Amino acid sequence: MSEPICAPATPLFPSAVAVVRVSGQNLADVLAPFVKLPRARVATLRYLAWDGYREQALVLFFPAPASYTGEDIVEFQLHGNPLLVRRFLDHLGKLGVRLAEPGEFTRRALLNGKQTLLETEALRDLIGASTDQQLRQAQGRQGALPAWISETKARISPWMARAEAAVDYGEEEGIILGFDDLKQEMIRLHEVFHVEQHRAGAARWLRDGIKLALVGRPNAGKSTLFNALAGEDRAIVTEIPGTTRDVLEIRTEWAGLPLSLFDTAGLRDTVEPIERLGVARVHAVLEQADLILHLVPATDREADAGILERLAPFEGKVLQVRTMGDLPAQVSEGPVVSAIKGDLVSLQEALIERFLGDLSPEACLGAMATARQRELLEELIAQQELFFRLESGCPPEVVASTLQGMWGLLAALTGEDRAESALDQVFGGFCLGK
Amino acid sequence: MKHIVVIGGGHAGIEAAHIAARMGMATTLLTMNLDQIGQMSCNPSIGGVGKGHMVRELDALGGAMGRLIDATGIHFRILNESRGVAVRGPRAQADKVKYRIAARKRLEHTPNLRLRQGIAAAFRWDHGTRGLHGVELLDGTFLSCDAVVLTSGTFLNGQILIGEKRMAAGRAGEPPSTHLSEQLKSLGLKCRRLKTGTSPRLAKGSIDFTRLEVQHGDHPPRPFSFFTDVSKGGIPQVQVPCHIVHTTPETEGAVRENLHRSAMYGGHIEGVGPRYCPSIEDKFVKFPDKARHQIFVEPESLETEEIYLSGLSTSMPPDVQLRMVQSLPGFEKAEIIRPGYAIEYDSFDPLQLHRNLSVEGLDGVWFAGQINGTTGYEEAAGQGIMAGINAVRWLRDEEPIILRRDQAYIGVMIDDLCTKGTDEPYRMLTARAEHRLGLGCDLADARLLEVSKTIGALLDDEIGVIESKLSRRENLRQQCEQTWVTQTSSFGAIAAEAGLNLNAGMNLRDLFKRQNLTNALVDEALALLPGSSQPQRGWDSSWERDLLLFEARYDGYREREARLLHHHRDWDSVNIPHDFPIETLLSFSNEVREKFRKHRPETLGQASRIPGVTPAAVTLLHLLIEKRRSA
Repeated sequence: MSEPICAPATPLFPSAVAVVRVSGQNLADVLAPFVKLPRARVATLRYLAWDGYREQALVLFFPAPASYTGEDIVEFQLHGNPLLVRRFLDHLGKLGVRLAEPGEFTRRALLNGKQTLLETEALRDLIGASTDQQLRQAQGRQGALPAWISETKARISPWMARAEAAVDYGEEEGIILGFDDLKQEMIRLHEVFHVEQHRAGAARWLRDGIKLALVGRPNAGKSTLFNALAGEDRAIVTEIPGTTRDVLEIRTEWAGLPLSLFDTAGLRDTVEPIERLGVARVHAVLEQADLILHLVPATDREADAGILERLAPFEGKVLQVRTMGDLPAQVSEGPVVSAIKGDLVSLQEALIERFLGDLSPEACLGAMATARQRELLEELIAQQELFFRLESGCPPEVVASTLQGMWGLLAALTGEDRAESALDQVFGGFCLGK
Repeated sequence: MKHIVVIGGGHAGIEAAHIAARMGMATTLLTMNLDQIGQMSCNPSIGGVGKGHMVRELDALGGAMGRLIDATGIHFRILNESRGVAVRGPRAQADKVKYRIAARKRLEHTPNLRLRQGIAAAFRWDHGTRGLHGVELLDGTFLSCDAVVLTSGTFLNGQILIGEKRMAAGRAGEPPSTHLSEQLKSLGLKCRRLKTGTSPRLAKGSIDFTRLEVQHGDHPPRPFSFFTDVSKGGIPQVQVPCHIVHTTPETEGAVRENLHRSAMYGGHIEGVGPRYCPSIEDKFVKFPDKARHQIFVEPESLETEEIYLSGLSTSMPPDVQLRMVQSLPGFEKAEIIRPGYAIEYDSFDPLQLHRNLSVEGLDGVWFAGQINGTTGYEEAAGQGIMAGINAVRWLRDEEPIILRRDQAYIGVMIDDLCTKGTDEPYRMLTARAEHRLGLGCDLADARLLEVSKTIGALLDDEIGVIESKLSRRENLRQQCEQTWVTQTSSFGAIAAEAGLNLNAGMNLRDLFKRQNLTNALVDEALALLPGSSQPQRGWDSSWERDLLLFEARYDGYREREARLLHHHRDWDSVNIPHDFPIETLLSFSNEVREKFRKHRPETLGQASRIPGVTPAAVTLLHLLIEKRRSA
């Protein structure tokens, strides 16, 4: 019998309502000494009493398997007093309901097949989202399987069936694979995969955030730009590994892009921040940045040679930005901004082009954003590449093997692994003799 | 001295008794009728795609079937010759009469093996079902033994159905066995009814063969067994052709008008039939779009005038069968000498088996063949040999031999049966093997060589045949890698003839990767290598050439296949300890625990293949096993 678990579903602060959730098998029996469970999915008022405490709670019962975890779930809506909640949990403990470990409800849901791995990942992102964009992206990956996965499965499964039949019965029954038609189908799918890969590449930045380091000569306008980017929405502040507490990461959303700005805190406004930090620490900051904005005032004829030299190892992820664009410009190359005037359009365009390509954040909704998903997507494309290297007239079992491989990767993506359902579809449409 | 009794003289029983005796164990084969040993109840042929693979595998382990069919085959053909080497399967028409005689003769001449006619009535244990004592026969004899392999085929409570008629029989003209099944059921074994069917047999003289399409066998015929020496008359029988005919609209009419009279469609059968081996009724009902179906006209034996119609399995009443047969072009005057029929029999849920094919809870009892829910001679034989091997090893306190899924089709079959079970008679298909590209039938000896040595049923001389072939194959690989193809060499001329451009630093293997190099040109190139034309026992140069080409062109695909599946193999190597409390683990849902209880997985890999068990559950199980191991 699955051990019953409980946890507060709302934070332990004084509030209007506090929710406590219980999950387990046969909760009606487990909780019988304490509360009579109401009808399924009907919010019902119950008077609870234990150890001298009295509470009036709204109780909801979701019987297995139609619940979040796939087990019985009972939800108690209590008055939002943290002490009351603690005493309530203590009492549940006496009834044999232990406190859940972090993520245990979701783990049970996954274990019981109530969620796909994709949904679990999306949920994790949803709870962890710290910007609007991340919230929207995580929501976009919730729920049903992404259409392109179900579509790909639907498109390749008849071909798998055909390839299998051509191998096991082909000669006797005159079944041929039809390689050229399959190739056309594969070319169409290649387009789909390509779009997904493209979207995944962009969605990755929306999910993980873009780490920006601001570098420039003294008085190049770092502070002003930093404040313009960080805005009022600046969120979670954390320490960056490899540096001291002097360097902080500030998360914010700017122009629909989740940014992590590497802030050198108090050192930011001093004369030689980079020098003060020391070469090793600066290196750590620059190493971790996804993009280094090298700020050069528009009034300078050319960039500071010392800084250029220091940035040389990071060629490819350095973007030179002309600041103070409101002043008469010397050079008109690269984005020119004026933080004071609020004119950051060219920087916005440069960042979007660099990280999202031609996609808008909305176009990235539902894309494969985690590292695991992106890796599998790449494997899928590599697997398809193997198919494209085959020629018409090649043995059907080799084709079947490449298709099985693709199917397996799709299943790995959704967490079903190698789906036996593929075999069920095989042979369905063929008349097979002995 | 320890002693094994094998019950049943069919294809599973033959292999079980034969291998046990070859491994040096005193063995008795008990059968209801000594004259029926090796009888082919259905089609007169052995092999095919997937099935032929298993025959090669059991041959490599020291089995009998490959050698028996080579000695008695009258029409050999490699199926899927147009496909790659991995899925080619040998198939042969057997002379049924000669096959039976050869099978019995082989058993009679196997040391440690004796035959006994009789009907098993009950198993006897010392305490409950612990400590097997022996087998009681209907005639009152008691055969004491330490292990028993039951291969009952269709005989346990067999019932033949023809149209509306039903009669008790194990096979047409032979009585069923009823006692044993009752004892097994009373011991709590889960039993279910399965069904299979066979085709009508005709008088050869009543068919106008001039109107049929002729199908010749391969010339020269290629043997099943790795040990058959073709140059020394290894395939001794006269080779004859088969014929092909197609059903007509009249055939379909005869079937459709009489469906209600078919034993299967009239509601007279409770058993489940094989999906991949359908009756003609099934074919017309399930595939209404297909205008006609192919029927193979096969000789049953050179000793008789009996003809088998492969593809026309039916349970219609005899008058309808006659109408169906006479609707075939050239069969207008055909005479049926044995009507086709359906047969329903007891089979036991294979989830009750361990992977060594012994029965959970019944000390010393092994099951093999149709009793486990399979269909086909080859499937039966593949289980028979493994049951025989593992019964002997159990008696000797040795580790069981479990063939892996990436090692043998026999391994795939037994894993499927013991892990997922089967609701319909299980037939081997290459589609069941996820490691298909590495499971070619010509590689069975290479794949199983080490296992074979462990089993010890092959003679030193036979092991030698395999080893020298493998070393020659390896040598050929090296020659191809070390032979450079230049413009001026003879190889260059061959490339030029194929219209191929040469790259710098190209070896022969690279040249073979090119698709447009014909087999004839490849042969020409290979003939230039030293030692290539030397004849050698077991060396088939055209097959070796195809293997070489397949490797050169598609080895990357095989490797990729293996890589994508590697975690399956990793999981297969993690055993779930016997005393692991898998059913009481708190973290699993009732449903998953119920599945574990019913399927009793022995490895993590098996657990992952149980339908309905999520990968997340398997991962958790893995963690729990590791945790316990380190505790």
